[in-house]
Amino acid sequence: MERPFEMDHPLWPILATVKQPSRYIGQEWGSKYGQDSGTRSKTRVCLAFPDVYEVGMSFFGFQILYALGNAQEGTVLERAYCPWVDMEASLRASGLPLASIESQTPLNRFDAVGFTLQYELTATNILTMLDLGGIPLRSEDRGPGDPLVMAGGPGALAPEPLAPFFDFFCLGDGEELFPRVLRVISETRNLPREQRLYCLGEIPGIYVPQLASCGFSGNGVRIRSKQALPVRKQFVRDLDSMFVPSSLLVPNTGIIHDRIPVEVFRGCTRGCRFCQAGMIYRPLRERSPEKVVEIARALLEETGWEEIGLVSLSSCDYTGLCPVLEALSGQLGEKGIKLSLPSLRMDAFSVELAAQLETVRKGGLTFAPEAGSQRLRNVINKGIDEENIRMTLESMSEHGWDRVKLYFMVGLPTETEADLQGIVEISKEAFRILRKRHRRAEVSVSVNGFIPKPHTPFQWEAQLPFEETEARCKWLKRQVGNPKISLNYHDPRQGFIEAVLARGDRRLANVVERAWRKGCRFDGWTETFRFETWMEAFDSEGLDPAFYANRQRGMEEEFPWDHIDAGVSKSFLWRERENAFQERTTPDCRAGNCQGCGFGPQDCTRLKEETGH
Amino acid sequence: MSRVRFLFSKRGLSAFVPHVELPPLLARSARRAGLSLFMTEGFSPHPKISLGPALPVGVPALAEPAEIWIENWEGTALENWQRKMPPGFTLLRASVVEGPQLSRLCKVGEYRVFFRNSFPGEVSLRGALEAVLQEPEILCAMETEEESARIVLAQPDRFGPGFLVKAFRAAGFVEGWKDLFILRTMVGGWEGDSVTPLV
Repeated sequence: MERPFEMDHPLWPILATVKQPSRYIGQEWGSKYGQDSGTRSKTRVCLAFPDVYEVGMSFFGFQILYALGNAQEGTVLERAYCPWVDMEASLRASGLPLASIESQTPLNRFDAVGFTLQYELTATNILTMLDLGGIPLRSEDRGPGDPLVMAGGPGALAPEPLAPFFDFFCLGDGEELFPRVLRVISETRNLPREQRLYCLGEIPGIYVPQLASCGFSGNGVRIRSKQALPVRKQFVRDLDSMFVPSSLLVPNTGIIHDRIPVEVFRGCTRGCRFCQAGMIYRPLRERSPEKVVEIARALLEETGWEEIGLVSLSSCDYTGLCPVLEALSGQLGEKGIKLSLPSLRMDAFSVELAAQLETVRKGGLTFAPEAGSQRLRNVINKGIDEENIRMTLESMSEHGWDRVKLYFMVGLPTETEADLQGIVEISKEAFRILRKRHRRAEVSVSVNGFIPKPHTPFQWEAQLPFEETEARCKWLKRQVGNPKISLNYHDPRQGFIEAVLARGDRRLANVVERAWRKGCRFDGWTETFRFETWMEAFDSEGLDPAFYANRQRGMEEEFPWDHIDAGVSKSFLWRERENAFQERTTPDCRAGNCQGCGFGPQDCTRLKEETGH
Repeated sequence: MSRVRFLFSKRGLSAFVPHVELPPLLARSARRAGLSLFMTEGFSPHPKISLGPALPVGVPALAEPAEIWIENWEGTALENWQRKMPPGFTLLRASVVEGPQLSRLCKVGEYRVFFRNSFPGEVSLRGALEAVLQEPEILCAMETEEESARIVLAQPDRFGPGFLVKAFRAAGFVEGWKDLFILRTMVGGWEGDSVTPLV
């Protein structure tokens, strides 16, 4: 009997024994196989996602970069995801490297490897991927034969804790930056590494940490660089003329967000003061309804996906929503294609929309009141009131939904027991409203500890000690006292490490590396998170995590992200902080005046309209 | 509307795509090919697709049967569909059918079993297979070579590769999946001495 070719695949015996082997196989529709003849004539870049496949494949950014990079002449883009702990152990035991999905090329044989920093707790996974890929962990240890290691995403806007591991950071929209970066990587292939970094640093929006030095004095950090500072985030001005993938990678297995993502706008001007995305993705840029419909139709045909998601930071706010739904819904309904909105605002309009979209009753609806009292919602500038909440629940109940999930935060600045009591009241009220019409009414409440983030009005604030956050969460759980209202909270110790890394400086890189060497992996996952190991790592490095997470910062303190200009000015953020403590709300500039967040009329459509320039 | 029965192969790393993921995979590729899928009625409409007996991940297959209900099936549909299949999947044949449901026609599964290491112990491969396949009475046919075997097993929905590996492990011949390799060559009817294809 002829021996099947599969038997000789080096990964086969490993795949036959690890959990969810389909994570490692690729084989998706749209993936680019056989692009590289092995001649080294092309520039090869590996997009590396520092979490498992099903999370990474749900990240729209890599879908864009994959298509964009592969559309450039002379460039080949491939992908790698972080192997789960069992796969990592098997690879190490077999002496096999982490290789790309498409051509099984070890990571160290690429010209460049690009990570995305979507979440602070993927830090140790980055080291796993570099190490398994055969790449020295630190930029300073890499030689001429090693790939350039880059990172983008929100984490790149406060890059210092990971700075030593990267050769450069890309700040802003990939559509704007990536083609230039690829060109320079390709054009400088024969130059010494240091010179290449200088060349990359010449590109607007590229930060090269090796060219910078950190001076620590008091609590603050001053960063000086051979590069001109601050480095300014780059962004696309017009979403209608921006690059759009003509097709997507279509997974063969279920992923977290299993649908075609069609972006309706970028940025958000609601101004929630805790929200990093709402600040760093400004200015607000809408895509025209015609373009949204055109993209949706084209991708539907190309991918065959059974669902389209209209994505953005708050899709119910999209001004073109009605024409888009009108154009799409009839046509999609006939084909059994679903249309979804990822996040719903708490108002009757959103519930009406959801009812219109949800032809099949399944699951419940999810909302985020974030805080339990009107006072605290004003502090965080969450523009909803009690009447909105009540009406939303009444409306969803009328439309037939009997389950609701509510998101809240604990430990927000100025929080008191009355605010926590408010969470309990809203949860009970939600149950009462749903129960009026539905015997099987259920409320599920999800509570997260507040994490102060860079480039937000709360970047100066102290995080509650995790013990206190946990005590408040437990208190909430006790107060609910109804089996039909389930209340769950995330491990506040994970939120603590996230807070440390979010506002950390370059000294933390040693802690990250030490934690990783001691075995920390997938710190965002409950089953693998090892808090004690992290604390040992801080201890060994002589750094106090509370300095980063639980310390109230002064107005004048120099932050380790002040050399990064995310567009929104520090003075605006401080003003917003002051408004927060005076419980004053700031209206969305779409409905009112410009709030002066830092963009000029040349960059902000809203301001351009207002000033007529 | 046509009820289309087709055979497909699942080779290379695609053998690790789980069985339960095949309906969306087939539906997505069919939609890409412009086929109009018949949707089931009821609470949660979905494309009507029937699969043959489940295969565990890591078992490549040469000719798996399945059925799909299509509104606009015509002459070139299979070729068009094939062009839109993901890597590793090949559509082999198709025909419009009527009659009993697919699961009732899948009487046997034919497998090739390869052992990665030389077969242990004093017993011959044939002796070993006979020993583990005594109970229940599902062994329809067997041919052995030095380190591989062709086996036909009845009731493929209940006794497939998973059962084989379990039996080999219980008998102490292997530790697990890493020590052997199984390929399903066919699923079909049984006429006493040969497997009959369903398309």
